[in-house]
Order: sequence, then C-alpha cells, then structure tokens
Amino acid sequence: MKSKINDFSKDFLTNFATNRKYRGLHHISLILFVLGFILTDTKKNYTGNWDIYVNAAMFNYFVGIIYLNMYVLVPKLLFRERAALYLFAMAGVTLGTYFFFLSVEYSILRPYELIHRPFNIPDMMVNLLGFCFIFTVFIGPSTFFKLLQQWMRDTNRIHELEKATIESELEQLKKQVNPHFLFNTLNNVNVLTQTDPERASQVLTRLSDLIRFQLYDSVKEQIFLNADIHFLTDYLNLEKIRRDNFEFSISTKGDIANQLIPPLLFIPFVENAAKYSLDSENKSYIYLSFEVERSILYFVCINSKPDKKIKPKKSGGLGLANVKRRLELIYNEKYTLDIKEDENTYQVNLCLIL
Amino acid sequence: MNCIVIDDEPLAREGMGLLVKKIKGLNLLASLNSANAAAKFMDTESVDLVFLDIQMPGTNGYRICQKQYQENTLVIFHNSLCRNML
Repeated sequence: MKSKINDFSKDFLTNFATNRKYRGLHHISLILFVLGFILTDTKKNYTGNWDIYVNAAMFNYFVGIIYLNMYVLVPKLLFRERAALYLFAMAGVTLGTYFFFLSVEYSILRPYELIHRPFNIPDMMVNLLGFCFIFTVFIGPSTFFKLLQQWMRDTNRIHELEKATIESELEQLKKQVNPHFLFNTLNNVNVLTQTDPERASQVLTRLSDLIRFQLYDSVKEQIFLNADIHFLTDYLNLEKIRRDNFEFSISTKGDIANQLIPPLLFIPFVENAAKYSLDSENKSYIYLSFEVERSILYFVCINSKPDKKIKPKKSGGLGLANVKRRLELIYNEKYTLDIKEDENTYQVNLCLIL
Repeated sequence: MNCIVIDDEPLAREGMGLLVKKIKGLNLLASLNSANAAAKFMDTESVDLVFLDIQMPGTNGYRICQKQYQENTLVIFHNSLCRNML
C-alpha cells in the first residue's frame, strides 16, 4: 500500500511536463521553438549581414523575455495571487519591447540605411498589432505551461497527501483496543497464580496470543479470517474469566480458512457486545457467527442486554464510529452494516463483499 | 470484625478474599457480585466493613453506601485498577 503512493499513475505527457528529470528537454524544446519561429521569416529586410544580427538579437531578446516570464513574473506575481499586477507587467514589457525595437530601428537602422522597408504610419500601427501577436505567441504558451505544471504538481501532491492521511488514520484506528481490558486481565492472572496456577498459565498463554496478534498481525494490511476468529476466541475466553454467568459461542460456515480480511475489523463489535451485555446478576451471552457464501462474508454478533439498562455514555461508541470509518475507507460501497435492537438483545449484521 | 467483598468480577472477589484472609481480626462473611445482592445480604446480617468496587454494572456502589451509613458500617472503596494499593 505504501509503495503505491509514489506510483501515482501518470501518462507520458503528464510525466514529461511535471518530472524534474526532463528539465533539460524542456529548455531545449523551448529554444528550438523560438529559433524555428525566427528562422521561418526568410524575408530580407535589412542590408548586408544585418538580417543575421537582427535575428540573433531578436532570438536572445525573446528567450530572455520567456525566461523572465517563467521564472520571475509567473512565480512572483501570478502564483502569489497578483494576476492584475502580472497583466500590467506583461503589457509593460510588451510595449517597452515594441518601443525599444522602434527606437533601435529609427536611431540606428534607418539613419545608416540598413533597412529596406519604407517608413509610413499605418504600417507602424499594423506592426504594433503584429508585434503584440508575436509576443503573445511566445509568452502565452510559456505561462500556460508553467500554470499547467504547477497545477499537475499540486493535484499530485494533494492526492498523495490524502492517501498518506488515510493510511495513518487507518493505523490509528487499528490501534484503539481497550487498555482497561489488559490491566483487568493482568489483575485476574495475579489472583489465579495463587489459587489456580494451571489456569493462570492458560490465561497468560491466551493473553500473549492476543497481544501478539494486536501488535504484529494487526499491522498487516490483510490477515486470514481464521486468525481473526482465533483472536476473538481468545478475547471472549478472557472475558469469560472476568464474569459470572457469561457464555459465548462462535460458529463458522463455508470456506472460512482461505479468506483474507483487514485485521481487527470485528473486535469493536465484540468489545461493544461485551461492554453492553455486562450483567452480574443474570445470565449474559454473546453469539458470533461467520458465514462465507459466494465471496460474501456475513458476520453476525448478538448479545444479551442486562435487565437494568446501562445508560449509554457520551464518550462511548468511539469503537463503533471507528469501525464505520474503517469500513468506509476499505470497502467503500461494498459493505452493509445493519444494527437491530430490541428489549433483550442487540444484533449487528455486517455483510462484506470480499 | 465482620466484612464482605462486593465486586462484579469473580476473580477480583477471590483476590480480595485472599487479601482479607491474610489480615488477622477480619472475618470474611461473604463475597457478593452485585450491589443488590449485598443489600439483600445486609438486611439479615450485621456487617462492620465493606470492600466495595465502585465500578460495577447495575446498581451503583454509592447507593448502597448511603444505606450503610445508617448502620455505622465502614466502607472501603476500590477499583480493579488499584486494588493492590489497599
């Protein structure tokens, strides 16, 4: 599960645009693009070698402008929510460039008669529009590329963050098993060592199985259903030692042995059942049933309710909220949870599509 | 001194019973698993000292305590988590 975080599925283009190892290629393709644009204009506008000089100057100028846009204006203005300022800066740079070119043309090229083009006003106006257009052709895609790259990286990061959060949340949810139970059982063993050492040893074995399961198996992504049932049996056996007039049964049906399930999925229900069936004066019971049929797992947990009703505490029910959250995270839509309650019994029906 | 132990957990009762037996002068009359059973017991027997678990399902331990004050019975509260501090 953890390795999947980095394997966020990307197609070739997304990968090319966002991965930093292709940076060199980005720059080369940009320079080729500008070069191609300038070289396609094969008209002879200037005398002698001046076509080459002017084109070289234009090339440097445009590349400079594009990098200024991509590494200064876009990150410092556009990404920092100063879009208006960015547009102003862009307009400023465009006009500035235009008048710079114009002044070069009229102060150097024309006085020295290096240019063929005759001078007229309408031509100048058309020139300005054309110039703006060319400028947009260079600046637009570079800005667009930067935005796209940023957006793709952000989405990717948000996605990874969500996944990591969900995973750590899952880890946390798994670990919420009652410490009160542990201390109580230890106290009981303490008594048993004096009265019934053999039974004390049995209880300790069960307890060690139980803790081993919680510490090691529950960290795995999936475990065998058998192991989970074994864990529940240990838990209920330990519960039985703590209580008078308590009985439980666990029944299984179908192909239980080969099923893989997420760990500690059922224990919150069983813990709840143990907690709310507590009755020192009358008989209490918990019946569990696991049935696998056509890769659907039916889990039923029935418990008795005491004569004197325990008032539901507000702090209680955390286990149940947790398990609902886990079911949503793991099974999404592929589960149903149904809780029935009457005067004397409480019944949980959980259905999982394996 | 006649005493009883009230605890909902069988092994906790047993453990408390063992501790009580170690102390000379204490006579353990009964171990009971609920406040109600204890109340019934105390209707007929005179009890000087009660070891009472405060965390029990059903009738609250405090309620039985009120009744015992009238009879000048001593009550020692405990819960299973610090039982050994008795």
